[in-house]
Amino acid sequence: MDDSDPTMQTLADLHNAGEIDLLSIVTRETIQPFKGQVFWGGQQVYRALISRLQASAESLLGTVQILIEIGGQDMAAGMPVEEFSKWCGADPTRPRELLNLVDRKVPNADRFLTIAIKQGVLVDRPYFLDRAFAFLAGGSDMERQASINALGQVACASDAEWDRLIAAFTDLQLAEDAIRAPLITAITRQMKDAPENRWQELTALGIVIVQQLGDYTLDTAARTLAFDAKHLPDAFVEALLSSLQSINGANKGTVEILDIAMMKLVQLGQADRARTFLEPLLRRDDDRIELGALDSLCYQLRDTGGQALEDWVVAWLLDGDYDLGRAMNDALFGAGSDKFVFNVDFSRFALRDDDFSYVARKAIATFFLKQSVVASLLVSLLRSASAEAADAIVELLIDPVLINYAGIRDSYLAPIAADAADPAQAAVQKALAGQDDYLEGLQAIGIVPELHPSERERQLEWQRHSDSMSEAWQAARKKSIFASIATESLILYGTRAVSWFKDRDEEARRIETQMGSVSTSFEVPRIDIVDPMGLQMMLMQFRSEARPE
Amino acid sequence: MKLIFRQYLASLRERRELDAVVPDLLSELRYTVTSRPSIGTRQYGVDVAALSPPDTEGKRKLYLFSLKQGDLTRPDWDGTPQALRSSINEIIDVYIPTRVAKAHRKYDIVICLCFGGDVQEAVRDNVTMFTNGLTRDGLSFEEWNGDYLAGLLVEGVLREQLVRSELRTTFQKAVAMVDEPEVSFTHFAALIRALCATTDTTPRQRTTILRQLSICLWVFFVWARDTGNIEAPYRASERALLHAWRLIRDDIGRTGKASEEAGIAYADLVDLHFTIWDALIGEKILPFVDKQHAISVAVNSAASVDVNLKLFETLGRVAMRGLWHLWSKAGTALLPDVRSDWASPEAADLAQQVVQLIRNNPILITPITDEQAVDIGVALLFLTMVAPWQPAARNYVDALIERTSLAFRTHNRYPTIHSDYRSLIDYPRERTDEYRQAQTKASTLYPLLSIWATSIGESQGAAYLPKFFAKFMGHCNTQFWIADAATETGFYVGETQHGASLGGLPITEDGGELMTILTAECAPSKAFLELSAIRLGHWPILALACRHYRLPLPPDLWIGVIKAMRDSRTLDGAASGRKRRPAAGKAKSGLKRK
Repeated sequence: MDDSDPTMQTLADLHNAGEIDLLSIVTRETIQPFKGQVFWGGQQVYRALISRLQASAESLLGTVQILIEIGGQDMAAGMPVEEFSKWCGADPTRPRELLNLVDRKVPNADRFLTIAIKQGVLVDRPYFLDRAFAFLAGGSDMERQASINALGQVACASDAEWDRLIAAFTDLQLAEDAIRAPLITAITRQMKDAPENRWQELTALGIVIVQQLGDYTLDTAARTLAFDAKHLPDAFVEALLSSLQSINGANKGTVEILDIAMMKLVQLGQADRARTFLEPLLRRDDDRIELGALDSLCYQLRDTGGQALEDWVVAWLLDGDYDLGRAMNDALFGAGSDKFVFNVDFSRFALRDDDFSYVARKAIATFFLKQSVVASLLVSLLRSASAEAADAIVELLIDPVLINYAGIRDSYLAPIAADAADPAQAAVQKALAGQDDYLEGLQAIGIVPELHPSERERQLEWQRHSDSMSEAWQAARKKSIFASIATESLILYGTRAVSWFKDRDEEARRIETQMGSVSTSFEVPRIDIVDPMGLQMMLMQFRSEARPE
Repeated sequence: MKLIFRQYLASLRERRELDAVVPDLLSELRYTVTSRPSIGTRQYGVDVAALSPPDTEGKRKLYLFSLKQGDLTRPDWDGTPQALRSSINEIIDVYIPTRVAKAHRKYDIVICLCFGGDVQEAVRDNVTMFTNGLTRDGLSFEEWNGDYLAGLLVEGVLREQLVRSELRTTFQKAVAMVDEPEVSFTHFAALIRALCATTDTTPRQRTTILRQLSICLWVFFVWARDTGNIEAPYRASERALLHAWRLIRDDIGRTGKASEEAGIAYADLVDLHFTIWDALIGEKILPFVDKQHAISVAVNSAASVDVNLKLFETLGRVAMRGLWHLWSKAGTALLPDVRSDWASPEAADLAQQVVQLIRNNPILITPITDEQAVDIGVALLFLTMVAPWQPAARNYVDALIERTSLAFRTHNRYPTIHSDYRSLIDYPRERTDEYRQAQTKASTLYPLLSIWATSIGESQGAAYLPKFFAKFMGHCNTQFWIADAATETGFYVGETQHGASLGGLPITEDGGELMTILTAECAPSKAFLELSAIRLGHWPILALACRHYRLPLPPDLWIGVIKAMRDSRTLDGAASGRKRRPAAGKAKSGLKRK
């Protein structure tokens, strides 16, 4: 039922005529049994009705409060509040009526003080502003927060009002965390339409407030960056970012908002800013933030691609800290990145000769299991490297890249070796020749059955492998979204399933489902089988290598 | 059974392979072999000469055998100096007038044309006409083809009175399953055990058993070679040497014809082991040791543990052959020693190949089970005995120390006390300190590495290992296995209830404490010195038994080599006016790949 449905108006009219009482039937006990879709359906009806009802503020407040509480953490839980605000603004007596409830300390009334002040200012500006500032000075925490919220949304009409507002906010700049958090929001809102001189005052005040830190403050700082960053002065953005270096990783909600803030920075073309902000967070010893927790940022970076992604990757490879490299590998190049290919113009980075092979080693250490990523970074380096630096990269392209991943030859390197216009052609040809030598050596020995594991050993290993795959499959299944929404039907034989179902008319219908297969494959690095410790040592060595001076 | 032997004879590839069988066969048929095949000396057409046993009239004949592998074809018959017709002419023109001993001239002579296969129809008439034309009083011709030889082997050497029918079945099963080495070897090992498990035998009877073993092993080997997989015969040849040693150990060193014959039969068995080694290691492995990862990849498995186990086994086999080479040049030395020049190009080549094998198959620097200490021990002993290769031994020890300690620190396939395949394929199952401690409660590898590192000089691992132990391995009982009075009884046939564990060995920077303990324990080790392999100067048998049955080499075997190294360092230090100390600092990286 949408808001314009005639039933809505009929219900409102019946209630307003006293024929029915829509509010008395909403109690915690009556609403509690309704869950999920049924609850939200009912909540929508009330949301649409609230502004149309003739009722006392107290009774309506009670109903709105119950709907909010039962809605819980859902984003839609607060929707009735907006309608309550409309209700309050629809009659000039209602803001005062609501304010009276606050004064009478009616339970939960203080939660709606912001509405009362906002709507009241439209009716009696001096009275309601006085009351708001009075609450700032001597109200309860809830009253102060609500008043700050309201004052953040009331545009100042004169210098006097600006002075009064800034003075009141300044008085609160060292207040407790829960008060400073709404102050930041209020200041940010006021900044939008503030004149130049007030803008600067608000910025200075905002910086001082955010520097006090605190969980609520930092959460609000993250929200401000995520949703209001566009019109904020750069100094304030820097202050917000700086304070967010103290973010508490246990506050998952704040981290999620920070993720959105970082994503927005990338969208605004400020990927470098996001990267330099995140670096300390990703490598701090205590309470480290994982890049994987910032999935919106990672998606945005991959989606943006181009120089933003390249700059990010090259910067962290040059930095050489494996904490950053690992984070990048896991979060930016997770599942499905196996085929990702870079084409980085390294001439943009003014690398020294020594840096080329250093970056190549870091690329290997960071993305070792992603052969396309590694090979394409090395080839990109070859396109800009001097002859001397190229030799070292060619060696790395042979060992460990090509001797581990023979498959990358056909899928990526062979076309480059055949392309006379590609600056990396000669070097890639050399690398492929090196791979040929290696493979020739491997094939020279031929089949030596004496070295093969015995049938018993093969069986045992196969069993172990099967068990391990089965465990992995079951673990993956537990996390599968499809498994949770689909019903399971096991097909024992055949390549398609035929079933008869009865529809609503009890008529049997034949459903035939063709079965398909889903498979995936990946190339296991050869050295992980023939020299696993050697491989580990090499990667450890590459990972710990410092950038040449 | 006869078909197996027929096929075996037809499959012999080289003449020397037939040479190896015919004399034993004749001996068992009660011929008196007077001339055996030899290489390098001219034999004027005769490969084997033997006096037949007396016939029903008590008459004996002198048989002159000219051997030919495979079928007799036209080119084999005539047209080249090596052709059979030329050989017969040489026998008549030269051998009979000049080489037949005076005492044998009274006997009629039979020139016996002996083939692994058959006379091809194309030359049948030529052979018949030629031999008929030469036949006269006192000189006749016989043909022993593959079918006839097979009959002699089955009905003679392996006749049922000597080899029970169930053992013949076991042998047939071994041959039938030759492409599944584990099963095949199990059957052949049962045959070896049964043949050798005799008591109260005469030297002559023991010699017969050795010949039976030898012939069975030959047949087994040739069949396996035809199927392309000689793993089972290789293992069987090691097992046969060990069981045979226990059987004839009392004959070794004794005078007397029968004992000497037993000694010769044992030497033939050792030669057969080397022939199989050549066919497996020499032909299939060693030519590829210079190829990076080639041998590792040839294991053809996606499981690293398979590569690990096979490569250490291979290392042990290669190095073991090196020890045999050195022993053969060691004269009367009872125990291994160090020399700068062994005058053994074969040993020098093998040392080079051992190093290449390790360099190009670096999984050999990462033992996964403590049991592999025996393969490492054999390799280190071999390289160290050849003084110019001691730096390679040192590099190997350093690399082993570096990698095994890193593996331990990173919970990644560090050497475990367990060695069964089922445990190893899933190893390590946990990455907890408790699990790691349980897996490393004891070690023979670390004290071996420690004593080698501290003795060989300039080892970086020598200084690092004690620190590693102090920090991580306090729970580990470092130990060696030493022989005792019970060892001799069951050691060569795989019994394990003997010997002692010399434990709680100190791992120190200079190895001095450990050396003191070893010197005290080994010097009076009467039990060790009385092991037949040591007492009779055949120490490679002891090393072989250790490797085959997966026991660590006892320190008594290599303590002399260690002392020689330490003495040499002391002398060097005195000569240069300063005592060398192991360099401290970070361990050197692994052996460099060639």
